[in-house]
Amino acid sequence: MNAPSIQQILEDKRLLICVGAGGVGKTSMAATMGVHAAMMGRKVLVLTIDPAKRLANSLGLHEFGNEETQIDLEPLGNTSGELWAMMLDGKHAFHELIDRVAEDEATKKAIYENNVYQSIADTIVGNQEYMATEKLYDVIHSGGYNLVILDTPPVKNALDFLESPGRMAQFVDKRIMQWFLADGKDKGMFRRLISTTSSKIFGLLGHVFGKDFLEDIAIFFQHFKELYEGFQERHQAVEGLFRDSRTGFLIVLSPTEPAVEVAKFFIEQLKSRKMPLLGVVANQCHQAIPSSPETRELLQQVCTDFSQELAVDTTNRMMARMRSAHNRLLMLQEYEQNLILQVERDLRSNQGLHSVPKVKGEVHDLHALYRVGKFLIQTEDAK
Amino acid sequence: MKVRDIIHSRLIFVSGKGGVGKTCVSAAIGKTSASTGKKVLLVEVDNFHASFPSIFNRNIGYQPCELEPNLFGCNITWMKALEDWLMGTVRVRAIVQMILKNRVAMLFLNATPGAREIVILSKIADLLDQYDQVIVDLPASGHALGILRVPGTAIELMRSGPIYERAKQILTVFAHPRAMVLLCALPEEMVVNETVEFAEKIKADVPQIKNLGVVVNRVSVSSFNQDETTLLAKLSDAITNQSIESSEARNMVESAMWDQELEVASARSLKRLNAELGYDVLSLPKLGLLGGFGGGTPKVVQQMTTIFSRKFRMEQS
Repeated sequence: MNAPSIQQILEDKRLLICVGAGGVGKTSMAATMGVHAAMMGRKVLVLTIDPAKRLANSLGLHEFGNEETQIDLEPLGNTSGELWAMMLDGKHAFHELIDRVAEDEATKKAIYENNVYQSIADTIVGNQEYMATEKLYDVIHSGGYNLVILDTPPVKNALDFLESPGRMAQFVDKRIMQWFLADGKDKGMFRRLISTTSSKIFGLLGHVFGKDFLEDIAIFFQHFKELYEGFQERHQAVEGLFRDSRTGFLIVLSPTEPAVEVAKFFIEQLKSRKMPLLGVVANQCHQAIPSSPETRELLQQVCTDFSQELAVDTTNRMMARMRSAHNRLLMLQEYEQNLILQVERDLRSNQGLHSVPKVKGEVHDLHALYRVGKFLIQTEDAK
Repeated sequence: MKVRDIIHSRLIFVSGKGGVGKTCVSAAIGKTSASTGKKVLLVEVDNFHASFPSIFNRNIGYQPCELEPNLFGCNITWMKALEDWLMGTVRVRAIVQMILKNRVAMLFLNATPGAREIVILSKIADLLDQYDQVIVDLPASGHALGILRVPGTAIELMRSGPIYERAKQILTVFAHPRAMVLLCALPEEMVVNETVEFAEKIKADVPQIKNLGVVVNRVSVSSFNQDETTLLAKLSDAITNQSIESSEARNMVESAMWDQELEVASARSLKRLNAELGYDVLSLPKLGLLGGFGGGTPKVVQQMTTIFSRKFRMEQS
């Protein structure tokens, strides 16, 4: 089976997830592909669950919030497609969920005021990602978009993200809930619990966590009980989404040792989790062409012409500078190609390697994104 | 900011945007401090994909091991730290094992918000007594902030009990006059934006930590004189308007343009960071091939160490 081109991927998929090490241009790649898919006529949403506001930056916006924001594509020409972007805010998404599922105002209020809820919603590592995946599910099932492109946080946390539906769902695991809710009334629950036989360990945990805290959790679960069924259902749906035939993963790397190591690690991880890897994007690859003596003579001539009014040694200085910079570029290119080869060996025949050259300047406006994307799609044409 | 501010710190949390060289900087500071005779511990936190082993070319587990004279390393994993924690509170091994083997108890412990972070930070606080300096290589900005905020949240959440007590102790450790958060950055606009944003959040959300340092990696010092700049601009125009057609020639001009671009971005980034933070941030030059990892990570760390040591000695004299 042949590896799909980026163009095919952008035409066929419904959910595209970009993973990879930090600093490799994952967010820019997500945005780039979003721009091109929209220019191909699709209605695209680019999402980031990264706590840092990088996506906004790369789309040339100062910032955008939890709301879907439409990006004006007019500077790039006419298209029937649309590009939207959004930052997923775990806390906000959790509030929305509670608002939707809570039976009445009193329940809602009780949950909001509960200490445990506040901590879960607010600061806790992992929840951000979980609630984000909940939102992801909503966005995909709203049917409002043809394609959703998801940008994930750098490596250690991207794994958390892949696992987090599991982690959060564990917390509202039936067994834990039943443990807390054994006798079901909201007052003195803790005392009631420690009087039951299975409660020895629970007593010990009370010793570790503090009894007040366990009591808070019990009350939280009491309120959360009604939300439970829906929660589990959605969790399963989200998990299913990651393995859907119209979902795919792309690993983004830059040709440096740490990023390549992380990419290889992801290839392994996705394989063992049976999540569909579509290919690898090698971003920021330096491109160098060896130069002939004739070329150097030509440049020497051009420099001499250009530096009539400048200090006499300027041409020589510039020539020396260009030669040394160019030699470094050639070495760097060779080194990078060797690294990329290491990754290519780990890929199957239906997983492509797409490379994007390093471009001048930083990529943080629409035009720059579009230009970079052209390389991604042109590579395909060249094959 | 001076290198000695870092070397004299008791506890350093290193973070920054992904891919900026946090781990290399952490290791280089560790090596520099160790060479001054301090007993130093490098800590990785619950890391799936530990990075220190490839720098020091050996396995690094939960128990600190000596990597070089005076320099120790460990990877604090949640399960091992939890076991230690339970031993500290429950004190009876058989009971600790009973909790660890109970599936529901483990589900609960794994899922309880903040438990992981408190247990790991608590282990770090314990280790602090045995070393002159502890350097913690945290994850990238957003998640590092998540971890550092947990003790403050836990105090509001727990109200009593061992976790509450530990969280209070951790905040005392944070408030140590020589505890610092050290952010790594690169001379790129997006990285600088994120660094400034992160620094503000640390000040607001973890006010206990008083010292905040910034190290900018891969900085190019300006080397183009006025005439060279003028000439390169003309060459650049000639590329744009196609009057230089040969792709070989274009490639050569472009490589000089890369160098210049890095110099300009470096100057701009340092200026902005210095203005935002109110002091001169530390900078490290490009190392390896064009600032990449050409010589391998251990070599980059060694070069950084040499630079830190030299600056440190100059500050002393």
